Amino acid sequence: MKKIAVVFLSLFCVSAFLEEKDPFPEIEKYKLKNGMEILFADFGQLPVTSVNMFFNVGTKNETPGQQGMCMLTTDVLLMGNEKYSRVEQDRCLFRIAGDISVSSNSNFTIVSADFLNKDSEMGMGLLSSAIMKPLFRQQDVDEQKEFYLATNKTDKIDASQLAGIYGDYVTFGLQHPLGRHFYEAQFNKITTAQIREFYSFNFTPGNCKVVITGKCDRVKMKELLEKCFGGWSAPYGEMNSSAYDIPAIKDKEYFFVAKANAEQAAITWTKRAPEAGSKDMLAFRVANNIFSDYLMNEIREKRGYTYGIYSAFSEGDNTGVFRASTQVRNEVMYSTLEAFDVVLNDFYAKGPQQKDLDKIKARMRAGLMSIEDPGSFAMLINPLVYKDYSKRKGVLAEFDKLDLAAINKVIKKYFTPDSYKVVIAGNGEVLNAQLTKLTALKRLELGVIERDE
Amino acid sequence: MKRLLIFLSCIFIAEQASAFVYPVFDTLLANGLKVIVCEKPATVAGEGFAELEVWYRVGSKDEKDGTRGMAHLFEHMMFRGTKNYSGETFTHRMDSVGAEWNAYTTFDRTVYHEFLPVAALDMAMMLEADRMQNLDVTQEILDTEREVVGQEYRNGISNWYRKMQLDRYAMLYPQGHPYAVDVIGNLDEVTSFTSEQCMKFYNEHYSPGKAFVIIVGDVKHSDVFKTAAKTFGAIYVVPEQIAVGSGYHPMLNTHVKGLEMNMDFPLQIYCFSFPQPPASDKDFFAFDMIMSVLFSDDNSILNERLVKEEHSAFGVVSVGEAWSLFPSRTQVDVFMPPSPGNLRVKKAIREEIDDVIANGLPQEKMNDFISNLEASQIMGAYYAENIAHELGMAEYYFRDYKKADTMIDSYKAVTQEDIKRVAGDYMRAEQVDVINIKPAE
Repeated sequence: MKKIAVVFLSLFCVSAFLEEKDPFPEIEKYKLKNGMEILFADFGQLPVTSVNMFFNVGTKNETPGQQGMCMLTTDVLLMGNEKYSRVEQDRCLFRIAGDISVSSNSNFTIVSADFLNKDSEMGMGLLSSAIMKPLFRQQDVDEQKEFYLATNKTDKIDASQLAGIYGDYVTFGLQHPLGRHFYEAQFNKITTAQIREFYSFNFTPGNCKVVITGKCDRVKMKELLEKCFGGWSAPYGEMNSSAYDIPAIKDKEYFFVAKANAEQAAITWTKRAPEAGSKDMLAFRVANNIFSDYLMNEIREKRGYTYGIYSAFSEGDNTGVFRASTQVRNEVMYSTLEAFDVVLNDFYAKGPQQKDLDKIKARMRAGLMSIEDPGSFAMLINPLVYKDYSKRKGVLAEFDKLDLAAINKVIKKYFTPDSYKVVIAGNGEVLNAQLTKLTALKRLELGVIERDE
Repeated sequence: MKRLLIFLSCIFIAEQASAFVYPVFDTLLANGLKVIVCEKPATVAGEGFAELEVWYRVGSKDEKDGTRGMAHLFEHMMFRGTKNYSGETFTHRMDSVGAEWNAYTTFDRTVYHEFLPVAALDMAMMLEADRMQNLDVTQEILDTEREVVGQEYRNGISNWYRKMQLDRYAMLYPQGHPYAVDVIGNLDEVTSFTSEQCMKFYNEHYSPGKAFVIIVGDVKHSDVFKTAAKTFGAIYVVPEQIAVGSGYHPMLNTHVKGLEMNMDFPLQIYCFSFPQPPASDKDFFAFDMIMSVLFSDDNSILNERLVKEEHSAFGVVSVGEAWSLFPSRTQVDVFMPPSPGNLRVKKAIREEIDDVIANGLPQEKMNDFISNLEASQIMGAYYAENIAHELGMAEYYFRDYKKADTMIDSYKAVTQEDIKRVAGDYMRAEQVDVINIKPAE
């Protein structure tokens, strides 16, 4: 009997060992009667539940004249509903140290709720009331609009924000939802009725996938889900199919936007990235992380031009481009452009060294393996980005397979040294002598984005 | 000198109100360095991670005129190489194991932290011990890093709110107070530091007797203690005792240097500033509870009234450090659209403060505050960094990390009489200055 127990124990240990390198647990799929899809995944040992609702709506869904609509809708979503006033809702959440938050980006919107298991009934009640029965009160909408307009005036925001906004404009253009930015005359025309319409169309059980992580009692949670969300119906059932074109970036183009009295110059470089679902994605992410380190090493560590320079790309919010950005002392603006070119040229011509590839793989691997909370873990599962979960389970093996040849292949494709769009924002008077060295520089007026096309 | 403190042995019953959920141990090395270890199991099967933090009892409070910004600059220099390992070697070793590493500086303290696989913990402890005793500041590297810090300063003043905060900061404290200059320092001084000044600062403030180490993660404390003895234990320094909050700098009955400011941004801010007791003060827990319940929590009395009900402000936010070694000043910012009608906001806040002085805080709000703390401690136990921070704050400010376990009890012991007395002492009309910050005409 003892021997059998030992054998069983050994088999269990071997099995556990074989599985232990994969951070992705088994997932249980569950569907409510109204069609809302739920994915359950155990994570962690604390008695906490994290409910994450991924809605397929973002800036991409804003039509001309609707700039800022998604941001406004999601902000006012948590400002009171038919069951709980804003004050009541926030008091209940505070009492249980629960959290309901909403964030939106270009492609999707996430509403997340975290609470202790003992408070799951209260947490789910608060979440479902906020999602299903928001009031969108006129006063709240007006106040949010006033706040956004006050804090986003293009002649008041800092140079780095300007470079980002105008970087989107020159990359995508005003005919593209990601190229537009809200402005006073347009934003003030958005009515509460329009917000309700935007909400009704996009915040539906059919346009949402839910990931529940943590360590919850699934039987109880399923009962709660049916109780809280089972009665949610909406005329629009299926996932939004809104998609957008990704513009080509074929040449080097330089743009300047003036920021009076700016203390420093902000610079952004935008280049094409793989499209969502591309087989290049993993290798590209690794390559871009190495590139970002090379920029930091050259422009900060060696030259001391900047506090930081980063080449950023989000697989979770893939807009089809990646962007490097920094802020530097005015007097080294042009030198920074030159230094960037040196790094990019070198990266394209020689590729990375093995030790740098190993380093980035270690960092990204650690990033996956060291996730501590169920909410962050849910982002790894994001079903709107990672549509085939079975492939996620193999991501560590894919990491291990990546070699210099694979990285160099994507570098030749995406890190070409002769194509990018650069936006410089800063003090025109101080920077003028350096700007004149840039051939075919296009100077942008602040008001150029204040149009709808 | 080994002690064991099991805050709560079984995480599966952690839904009950308590403090930390994992066992904590400590040891004191012969050179005066305390090492605190919390055994937090791995979240993901297969690979354990650990948070390593080295807390130094040095911050901008320790700077003199001419070296303003030195503590923060030092935070940068500590990554730039020792007599044994170059800065590149440090970076490479950390990066090669996928470590996340950084540091931060406040008025009181400088903390270096790494989050990395447990398998690399010995290596990280060796590197931390090495830079505790062998830092090598060369003028060449200093020249580059001074510019980087200068750029960090410019990043700050490029943002309207941070620039306003820096400008305002100069108005808050009397000359000679340890918090009289912002942590970032003065740009002209930072960009002219010499390597000699840096080494003098290092020799004065970086030693085992003026630091402690915290490790939280999937580790065995006995293993960590052995490594600590081999690495940090090899640094020989006579233990030095520093009194908590040594040197008293009374703030009661002091005032800010001006009540009007302009900024280049289309908002108006009322900054409510009044004296704040240090963490070691008997009034600290009552004061902190008032700050949360009246001002800074999302559902504070003033956020509910001004933001959610009357819609007369965008937000009420408490900025600055709640915990300090020395008596300090609060800064509570009330954000509004610029309007002459904002005077009623100022009046409303005064009314609410006076109500607390006369009647205390609503009991329901105090109960919610405690409930929130209890639940937050379980939610927060997911994060090794969060646990390390809680332990570190208790060890730093109370010289006893175990205080973290009884912190909630200290809040529970606060009575309505305490609330009324403390509100009266620190927040009565004569103690409160309101700086009116608005766009230039």
